Amino acid sequence: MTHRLLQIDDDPVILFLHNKLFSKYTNSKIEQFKNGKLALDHILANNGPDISYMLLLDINMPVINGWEFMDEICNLGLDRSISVVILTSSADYADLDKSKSYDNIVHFIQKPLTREKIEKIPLLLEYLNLQ
Amino acid sequence: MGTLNKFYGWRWDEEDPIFKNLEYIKKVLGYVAPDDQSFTANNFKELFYPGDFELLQKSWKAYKTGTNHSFEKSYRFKHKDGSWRWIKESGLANEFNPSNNPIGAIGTIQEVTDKKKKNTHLKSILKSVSIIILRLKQDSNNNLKVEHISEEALQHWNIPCKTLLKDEDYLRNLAHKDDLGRIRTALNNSFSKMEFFECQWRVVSQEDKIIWCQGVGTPIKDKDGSCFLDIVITDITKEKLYTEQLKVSEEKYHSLFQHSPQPSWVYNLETLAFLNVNSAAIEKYGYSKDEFMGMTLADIRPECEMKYLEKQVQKTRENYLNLFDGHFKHITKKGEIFTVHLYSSPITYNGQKCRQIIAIDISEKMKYLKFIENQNKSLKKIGWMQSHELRAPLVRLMGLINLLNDHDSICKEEMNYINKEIINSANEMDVMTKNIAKIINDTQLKEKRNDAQIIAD
Repeated sequence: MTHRLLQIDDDPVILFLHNKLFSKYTNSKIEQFKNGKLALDHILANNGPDISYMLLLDINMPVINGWEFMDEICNLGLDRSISVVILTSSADYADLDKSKSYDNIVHFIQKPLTREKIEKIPLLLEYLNLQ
Repeated sequence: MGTLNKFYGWRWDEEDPIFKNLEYIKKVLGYVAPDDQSFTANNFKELFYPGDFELLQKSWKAYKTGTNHSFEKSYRFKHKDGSWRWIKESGLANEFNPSNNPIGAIGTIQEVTDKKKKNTHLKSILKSVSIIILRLKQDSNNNLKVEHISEEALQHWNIPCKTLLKDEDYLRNLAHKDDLGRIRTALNNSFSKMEFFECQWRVVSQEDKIIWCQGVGTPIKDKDGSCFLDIVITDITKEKLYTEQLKVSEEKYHSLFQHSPQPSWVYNLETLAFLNVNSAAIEKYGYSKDEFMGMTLADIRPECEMKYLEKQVQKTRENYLNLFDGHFKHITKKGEIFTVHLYSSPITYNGQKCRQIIAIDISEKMKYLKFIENQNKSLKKIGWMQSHELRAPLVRLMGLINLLNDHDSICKEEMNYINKEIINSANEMDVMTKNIAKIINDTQLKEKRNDAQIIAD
């Protein structure tokens, strides 16, 4: 079984910060996508029964936003093999409530991501180890 | 009944006193005299209604010692079946002694039970309808005097009446002093012009209660040239009281309607014509009352509302008792269109099915509502900007500052990038906060304009 961790965020500064953070846990470079469409294309191209994904997903993004992306993977029946951690700068409680309506969203984290926050999510640590 | 109403003759003289008509005794009273034991001399008295025998004896004695030729007396007598029968005896003397006292007479005896019953019934009716019959007579010197007054009704009203017939100033007892002038004038008019008399006045009863009376009658001239007037007087106290209460209630309604600060009117549901408008409506719509009285509902509705008006009126006609309220557009005489919250309720006005309307101008309320809605929109927008847009550069800044604590992992190139992005994020935040401040300023400006407009209005 292959475990793949993907980052989806349109903010290059955030992606830079996350790379610096993840470098403390893994030598491998975590794959990054500027929007949900690119990530979805990648998953569809590389999907298989022996691959499970964990996505660090931003909400406010161009092309398709985080929620549209979530609906798309549900429609495609990919939600069982994809675990999602929402990583957003939003302080809107409506977003937190909405995240609860998706079974495969395992965590809802407000940016900025820190080592303390990473270490509170065992599944994320597991994925970082397996990269 | 024919037998009962039959007259039976009798004859009386000193040797042959009453009750000699055997047919009468048998057919009217049911006794077979003289065989019937109950009809013997000893029991005879017992057959009279208590007290009636003594009265009969007394009047009989008075007749025999008097000089009157005619005799008439009624009394109650027990029938063989046990019931009481009214008997009337009347006769005329045909023999006299030297002192002119009757010593013999002939006459008739008759059962009058039915007639008596009818009279009693009539009396009780008269008593319950509270009617006084007053006969006034005017002599040749134009002086009025009470000739007759029905006593039962007077007792019922508790007016002192025993002295009334003798009293020259009878009106004093019959009417409140403040109404005496009015009655005298009406009486004088009636007698002098021989016209129908009609007058309403107050009577103070013995218990100091005010009784309202109405008297009506037509004067009649007698053969001797004197006039008399039979006045039928009825107690109209209750009627007066109801009329008074109705008047008070109508005045109260009228005052509430007229002095209501909200425009209000009554309209005819069939013709839609205005039937009454209050002063607030006159002021608000700019039409005078006379103008309103020649207008219909359509005249205070803008052209675009006509269909809506027709629809609503149709609905109300189908369900007259329906209460409804709603928002409508109205137009003043000057052409100013405004929104009203209208309350419509059924009312019977001058016997017609009408509707009463209260129309509250809510244009200003709507302005405020619109303003508050806009303000809420602005607040929502600011909230969204703060939680989404402003937080993006902020979290970037926080992340970059966190990274600065980890000197060892940062190369020179990365340090330059971090510095540049710190400045970019700070600038971005600056722009965002200025945008938020602009939204707040715009909202406040709108508020000031709105206030100024309301003051100007």
